Parts: sequence; C-alpha cells; structure tokens
Amino acid sequence: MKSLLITLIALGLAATATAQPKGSVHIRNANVITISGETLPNTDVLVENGRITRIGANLATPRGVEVVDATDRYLMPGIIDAHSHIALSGVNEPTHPVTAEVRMADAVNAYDVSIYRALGGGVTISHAMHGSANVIGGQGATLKHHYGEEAENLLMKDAPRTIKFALGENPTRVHGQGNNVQPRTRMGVEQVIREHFDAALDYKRRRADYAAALQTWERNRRRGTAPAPVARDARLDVLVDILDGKILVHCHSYRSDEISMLMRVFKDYGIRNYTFQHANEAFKVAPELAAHGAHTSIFSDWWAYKFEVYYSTSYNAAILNHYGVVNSINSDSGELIRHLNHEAAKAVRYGGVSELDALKMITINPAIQLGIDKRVGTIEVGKEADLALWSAHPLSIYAIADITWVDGVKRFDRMNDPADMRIRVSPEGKYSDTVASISGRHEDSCMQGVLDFFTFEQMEHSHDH
Amino acid sequence: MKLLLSGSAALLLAGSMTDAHAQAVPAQAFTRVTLHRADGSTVPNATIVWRNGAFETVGANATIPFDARVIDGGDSLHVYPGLIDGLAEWGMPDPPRPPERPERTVQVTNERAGVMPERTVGPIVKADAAEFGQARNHGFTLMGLAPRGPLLPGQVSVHHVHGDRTAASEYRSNIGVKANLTPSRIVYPTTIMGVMAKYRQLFYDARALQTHQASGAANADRDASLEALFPIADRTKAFHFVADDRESIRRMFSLSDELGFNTILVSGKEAHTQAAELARRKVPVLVSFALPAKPDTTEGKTDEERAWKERQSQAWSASVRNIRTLLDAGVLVGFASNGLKPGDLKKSIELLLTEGGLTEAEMVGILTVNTATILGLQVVAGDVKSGNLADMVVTTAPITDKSTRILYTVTAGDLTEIKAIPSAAGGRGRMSE
Repeated sequence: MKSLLITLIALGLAATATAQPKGSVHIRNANVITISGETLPNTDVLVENGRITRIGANLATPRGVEVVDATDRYLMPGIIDAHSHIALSGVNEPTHPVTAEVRMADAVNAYDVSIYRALGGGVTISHAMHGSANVIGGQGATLKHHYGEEAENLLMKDAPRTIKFALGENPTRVHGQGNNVQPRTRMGVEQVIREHFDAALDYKRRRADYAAALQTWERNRRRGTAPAPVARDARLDVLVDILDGKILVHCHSYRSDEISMLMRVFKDYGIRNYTFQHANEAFKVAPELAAHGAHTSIFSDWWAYKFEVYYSTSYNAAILNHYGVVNSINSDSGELIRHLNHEAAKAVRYGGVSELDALKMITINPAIQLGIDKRVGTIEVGKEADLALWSAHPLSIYAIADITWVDGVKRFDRMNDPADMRIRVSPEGKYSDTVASISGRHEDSCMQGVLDFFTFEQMEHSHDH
Repeated sequence: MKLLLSGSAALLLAGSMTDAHAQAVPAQAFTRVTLHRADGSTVPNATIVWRNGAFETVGANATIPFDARVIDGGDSLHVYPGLIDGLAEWGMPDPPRPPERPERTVQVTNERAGVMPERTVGPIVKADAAEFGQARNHGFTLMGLAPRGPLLPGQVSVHHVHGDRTAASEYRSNIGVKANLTPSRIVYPTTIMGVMAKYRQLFYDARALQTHQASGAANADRDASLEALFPIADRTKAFHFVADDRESIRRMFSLSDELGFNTILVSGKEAHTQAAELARRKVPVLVSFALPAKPDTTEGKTDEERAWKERQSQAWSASVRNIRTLLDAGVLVGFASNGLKPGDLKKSIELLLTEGGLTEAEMVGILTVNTATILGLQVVAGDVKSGNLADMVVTTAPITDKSTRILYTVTAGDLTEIKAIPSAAGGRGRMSE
C-alpha cells in the first residue's frame, strides 16, 4: 500500500465551503462507456459548470476549460456505492430497536481519508448508511465525494431520503438476546415493523385531529379550553414519511424467508421502491422480487461470516439480473469501495452477465436504488459530471482509475496524488499511532459501535455485517 | 518590597464622624499604582477608590475619601481588572460514570439521558472545592459556573470568586443553559446522530408545551426540563455550547439554524477552523486555554516520518494561534477554564503571549471585559472604572513579566492578600466533555 504519510500537501481543500462546487473540463478522445447506450470510441465529453453539455467527436474547447487527453483510455460514469459506512463519526445508535429519527447526515465526517481512497477507485457517490443493529435504523445520507469540502457540501443536494431497515441476526442479537427487548426472533422483527407502522398511522391521525381542533378553537375566538398539542415526534414523523412514499427503504437482509416477509409487510402498508441490502439468498426469490419491483444490492462473493450468511453463491448477481431485478454491487467497506469495478467483473465471470449489465450494477442501478438516476449513473448530456477515467477497460483486472471528477471538479488525479491527503491533523499523538490506525477491510461495517451491547458470549461470536 | 499601609483611615474616622461623606462601610484605596485598563491603556500613578463592593473613583487625580483605608503602591504595583472565567466547572460533582455496557432495560429518564437543563448550580456545588481558593489566588474575581455532564447538564450562574464563600456568592442566576454534543453513554442517545435527534425532539416537545401553556389551558402539563428550554427557544437566553472539534462546531451551527437558538461557543479548541463563520454569525467564543503539548521535535527517521512531524508541528502552531485567528476574523473572544486547572493557567498565558501571537492588551481584554461582555455583564464588570464591581488583581509587575506575582485579589471590594505563589503542580489541565 502506498503510504499516506510522506509529503506535506498544500491543502487548499479545507477551506470553509459555501456551495457545492462545480467544475468544467474537456475530456478528449476517450472510449466513452455511456452505460445508457453503446460505448463510443474516440469521443469527446465536454463538462461545463458541473454538467455534461456535449458528447461527440472533435468538440471545440471553450475558453479557459482544461483539456484532458484520454486517448486509449476509458471514461465511465463515477461508480456509485449503495452501501457504505465511510465518512461517518457514528454508525449505530443501538439503544432502541427503532431509531428512525437519527440521520447519518448529522454524523458525516468530511475529513475521513477513506473518501479520497474511494475516489482513487473511481467512486464518486456513496450511500452512508446507519448500521444494522436496529430493525429500523437511521436515515441514510447520499454523499458526493467532494473530499476537502465541509460536510454540507458532501451531502448530495435534493437527493431522495433513504432509511436503513435490518432483519435477522443483527437486530435480534443486539436487542433480543439477553436484553429482553423485542425482537428476539425473526417473527419479532416483523412485529416491530408492523407495530411501529401502526403507531405512525395513529400518530398521523392524532396530528391531523389536533390541527383541526386548533383551527376550530381559533375560529371560535379561542373560547373554551385549547386543545392539547400533539407534539411533533421525530421518530414517527419519519415512519409516516416512509408510509407516504417519501423515503426509500434499504433493508439489511440475508435469508429468502425474511426477504419474502418484508415484501408482504410492505405490500400490506403500500410501500414501494425499496432495496434489499446484502440479500445473499435473494437468488432464491428472484422472480418474486421482480414481481414486487424490489431491488437488491449485494456483495459479489462475500459470505460465511455468520450463520445466516452461509447459503450464498457468486451467481447471485447473475440470477437476479436474469430475472430483471435491479441489482447493484456494493462495498459495505472502506477497502472494498476502492475496487468495485473488480467486484462488478465477477458478475461477468460467475453467470455470464454482460459487461454492460455488470457495469450498470455499479453505476445506474445503484443510482436507481438511491433515486438519483435522472442525475447521475450514465454519461448523457444534461447529467451531473461524476466521471472516472480508467487506464483500461474498467472490468479489466489491470485497469486503474487515473482521474475522478465529481460535478466536474477533479477530486483525484493519479498523476498528482500527494502521499498525505489527511485534511485534519492532530497536534498531538505519535507517528507510530497514526500508522497503526490505518487498517483494512473490516474497518467499516454495519455493526460498528454495538459491541458495547453484547455480552461476552455474544462478542465471542460477533461479526461485522 | 515594603508596602506602606496607612492608618489614616482609622484616625480620620475617630475625628470626624459628622462628615457628610462618612458612611457605614469605609472606603478603601490603592494609591501610586499603575492601572491597566481593559482596553489595554495604562494609567500611571493612579488612585483607585472603592466602597461597598463598587469602584467609587478611579484615575490619576482621584480624591481619597477621609475614611479610606489606603494601600500605597509605592509606584511599583500594577492593578488589572479582576479576571473573569466565563464557564468553570470547579466544585461541580462528577457526572455519573457510564457503565461498561449502556443499559437498555432501564427506564430512559432525563437524568440518565443527560437532559437536565433545569438543574441549577446551588444545590450541587461543593462549597469547599479547593479550586475556588486557587482561582482567587490566580486573580479571578468572577466566574460562570455550570454543572458537568453530557448533553444539557444545567444552568449557568455567575459567582463572585470568594474562596470558600464562592458557592454562596451567586451574582447572577441562570443566565443561560450549558449544552454540548456529548452522548449520555448510559441510555439513548449514545451517538452523535442520537444526540442531534434528541435536541430536535426536545425542541418539538418544548414548543408544544409552551403553546399549550400559553393558550391558558388549565390542564396544560408542567415539565421543568422543557420549561428550562423556553427562553432558549425564545432566544432570550443562549446555549453556552461546549464544542471543540470543527465538525462539532459545525453541527452546533446546523442545530442552531434548524431549531432557532442563540449560542455562545465554549472551549472551541479548533474554532480557528471556523473563524470566518463564527464572525459572520456573531457567535462569541469563551475559549479554552488548554493547549496541546508541544510536539516532539527530534528529527524523524524516514522521509515519511519527517513529513508527518512537519504537519504535526503546523497543526500545533495553528492550535496555539487559535485565539489569534479568531481575533483577526473579528470574533469576540473571552475565556473559559472549562476544567483547566488554575495552576496551569500561567503556563498557558505565557505560551499564548510568546507563540500564540497575542499581545498583553489582548490577553487582558480576553480575561476581563470580553468575557464580561459575552456574559452580558459589561456594564458592571470587566474593567476598573467608577460604578463597576470592585474586582481587581494587584501584581508586582506587568503580567507579561515572568517574575510577576499576585499580591492581592479584590473581589466585590473584599481584599485578599495572596501570601505565596500557588504551585503549578498537577500537570496539564483536564478538560471536560
């Protein structure tokens, strides 16, 4: 691993930001993998003020716009990771089975060097999620990788709201086993969801009743006793918004029976447009998922880290794709996020997914799952210029990302890649401690911050996702 | 040095009790001292007269009342306004220690969650805390006090620093509510996301209760915690918000914008990274003087380690120049000990003057009038002038002089002779939260 600690960089990056930055660039003579259509050889892409304005041969360069010669290289949309925990100061609020009110946007750590490492793998957007400790966890944050800006400029403006649900072993272990808090079983998980949805419906009615009573009291010139207010409830507000279709659900799940269970629950409550995360057994219910319009976001080949994740296959992506399920391949890891192109390539190897469909799994498909597909995920005129330029075809094991742009702003350039990209440097501490703090694949995971809640016996069998 | 303590007051009192100016409480005075005003100006050969806890006359030609007990400075003493600590936690009991594992089967009470904005200092302060005497020995005459703990530990009150009488010497009660983003670690909220959500819910609940009570409904609930937030929600009082790192300061901004409250930033060790924004928002800072230890300057063994050390050195310099950066941006900066030990203060002041880029006048302003202004006490404290609280500290030399030592501290007119320089032992200050 290339060291991060060699050169002092002049970080013009850390200035207080005022608006999401936008840049311009003329990328000349690339093999353009549009995702929306054919790959275009020897093609220029012009980016102006953060958006793709022209695609074609021999485009004129507007005055003052940088030109990048991309001859023999491949330009594709920036990779989108639909399941991530990088750039967060906290992951799990594991004190209640339902914590819908917490927002990962409140916990964004814009100074996490993992963002830069992800850019080095061509990843321009990650979905920062709550962990899987709770049946209904916190609201997600869709982050544009504007490394060097403050947190508010990483939050993708006007991206749809999302929320994490979790089924199976994690919530039952954190809350049920040894703590006498529902849910202790998969049956309990279902009931927690139903009970909270019912409570949200009741809350919505009570809020409406109060608003009507208040209006009547005001109309009657405040005669009689004022109605007792029904205070806003931060938790139930969010659940109401889920039921009203304003929030996209991303649900941690593994087993096909619990996947089927949640589809039934959501059908009962009229919830659509949701994504199963991990979903190692999704291949067993692929037709049903397609019928419900449910999406999946999976690992290419990561399993067996706990009991419910043993029944798994590398062919999961291919089977889901065959049945028309919108599937993405995610990282859930600060390490895996750096080579999601290789993870996508495995779908070609295991099951013969077409190269285009494999690339869709790390571009437009996660964009669909995050509700941002009209803005990113393909190279089309009018779209936001989140782009990655590769040294070779991105599904090649030899391909490396040379340049990564976010909204047309160059955020990673392998030719200008200072060794020390930390934004925040502590005035105290030892060099050896900093080196020791750099760790790998299991650093960021769904179960961060919950070990405190386990008994010793549970910790003996703890896992990461 | 030998001081001349005049006995003239007693003699005069005995001889002219019918004088119109004779009062029940005799005046006291310093003569022939160098007065250092809060604005950085000096008045040589000054006379300072105080009575009944307040300054009567101050200046080069001030008249000494006949009944005054006079201390002659002999042209060698220096008088500064009494130092003010914007937010101390001295005498405050330790917050409950979180258990090894957060408890989830117990009831989530406000106390366990750290939601106690109604809690006042009086019932919990330890009157015999040694720091009160030490603070006076270091020149402090007024301090903000608030309970310790996560989230919303309680009210801020202002006390005269009177040694073991400090706890009972409240000057202003409940001027604001102490706040921070520290999770409870006992029950919900245990994370920063939970803390932010908790603030939102508290404000939703407070506003609903306030609406109900304002409607005149006889059946409106009472809730001391939520009612303590009414003046914050109304912006008639501010959160004294303890935050150090830059992301916490930005989260404070975010909550303030969303929920509509005013803030005073307390501690702010990385406030320099947000100096422009603090200035734009007119958020004052009661800054910490707890400084990071100077990095090891031995040369690194590799290029990588040398580069790392260079960046650490720059980070250290930025930390020590935190206040300088804030002042340059136009931020109003006062002082808060916030857990710093009184004995560590002198070392920090020396470092701030030598490597922090501060002038003596700026230092005096930060420790006096600026802090008074931030606490809303600028018309009664923070400077040696007629009508103000008679709070001052008397030294043998300017405070920038390493040989200087404190001879007297005067708190609301009460003069205490400081017999010896308190030991600076005890190492670096411990910061709360």
